[in-house]
Amino acid sequence: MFNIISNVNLSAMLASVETTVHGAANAIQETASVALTHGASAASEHAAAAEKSMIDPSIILNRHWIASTFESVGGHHFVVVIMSVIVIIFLAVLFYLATRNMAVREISPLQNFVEMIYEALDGYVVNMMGPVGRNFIVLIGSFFIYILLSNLLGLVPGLESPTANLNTTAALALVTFFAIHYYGLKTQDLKYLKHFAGDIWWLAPLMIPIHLIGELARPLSLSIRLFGNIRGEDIALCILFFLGAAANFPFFHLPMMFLACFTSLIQALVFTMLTMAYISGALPHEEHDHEDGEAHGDKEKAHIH
Amino acid sequence: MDLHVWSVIFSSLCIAIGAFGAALAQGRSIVAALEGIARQPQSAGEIRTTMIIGLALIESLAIYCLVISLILLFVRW
Repeated sequence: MFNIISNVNLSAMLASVETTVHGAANAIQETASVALTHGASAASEHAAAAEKSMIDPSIILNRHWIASTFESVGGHHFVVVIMSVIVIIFLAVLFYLATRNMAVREISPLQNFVEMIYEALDGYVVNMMGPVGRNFIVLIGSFFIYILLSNLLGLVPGLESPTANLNTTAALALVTFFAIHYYGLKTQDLKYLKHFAGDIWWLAPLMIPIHLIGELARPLSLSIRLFGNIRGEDIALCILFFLGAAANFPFFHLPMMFLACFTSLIQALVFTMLTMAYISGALPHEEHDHEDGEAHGDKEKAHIH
Repeated sequence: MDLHVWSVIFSSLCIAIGAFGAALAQGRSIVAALEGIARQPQSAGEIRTTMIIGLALIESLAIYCLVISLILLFVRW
């Protein structure tokens, strides 16, 4: 159960990483928009073009009504941090209350609930990675809980998904990226670097760039997949809501709401599943069958710690 | 025509073609997974997890198309 306490620490860590990545991703977005507007001053053109079009699409894209409240404080990117902090505080308080008075008998309902979550995550991770996966349940579990809650937060009117912003998902994907190589180097030392060269030594000049590009594509695809799914889902919800409002037909977006709940869960599953697949790809893989899986896992556990 | 109109046309084409390819690929992978499960129901769990990973990887291509079309649509030309 102590893993859950460190879960909370990790979500706090994710938040701090996010704020640092914030600046970098912000700069990338700025350069992209500058490049797309042919080097002209992006901000003034945006403002001029916004008045030209009839419906301002940025209402859908990045300006919730709550966003405009904080606009004067730090721009609309500030909202993502607030939403992320809401999720983190909720998780921290939940797990603190659940683990404060832990008991073996006469378990409180909250502890029971959190234990249920933990057991489900444990089964999920062990099913996917084998018994070695118990070492990574802190990382994977906090990814799963944080992403799921972030995705679902966007379905509450007035709130916004933190994961519907590339900054958050890039931060999460970077944590995954460094975790892969950290555990790879920790468990296999320099043998880990050898697998970049491939099996045949004279193909190494060809294989090393291919592997490097493959490694760099992982955080890119992880972050853009999560961002695109959640943002697309939010935009579809918003468009359907406005369609229903225009046709005087309320709850037109209700079927999409159910679909959005489903995609939120699926995307959290996919992110953690890919993280586990990447990490177990970086670990030393010896042949093991299910009979001595437990002993094997213990051996690797000793290896990691 | 105005550049904005072109961007709307091509953003819709972009997501249409991207979704078309991804849908075909996902259909093929689901067919293969279902055949595998029907033949060996005891390995349904492993097949399902592998299938979901594969579907996610295929779907990311459609999502790239979505991102590109959103850029085309929402960046002011």
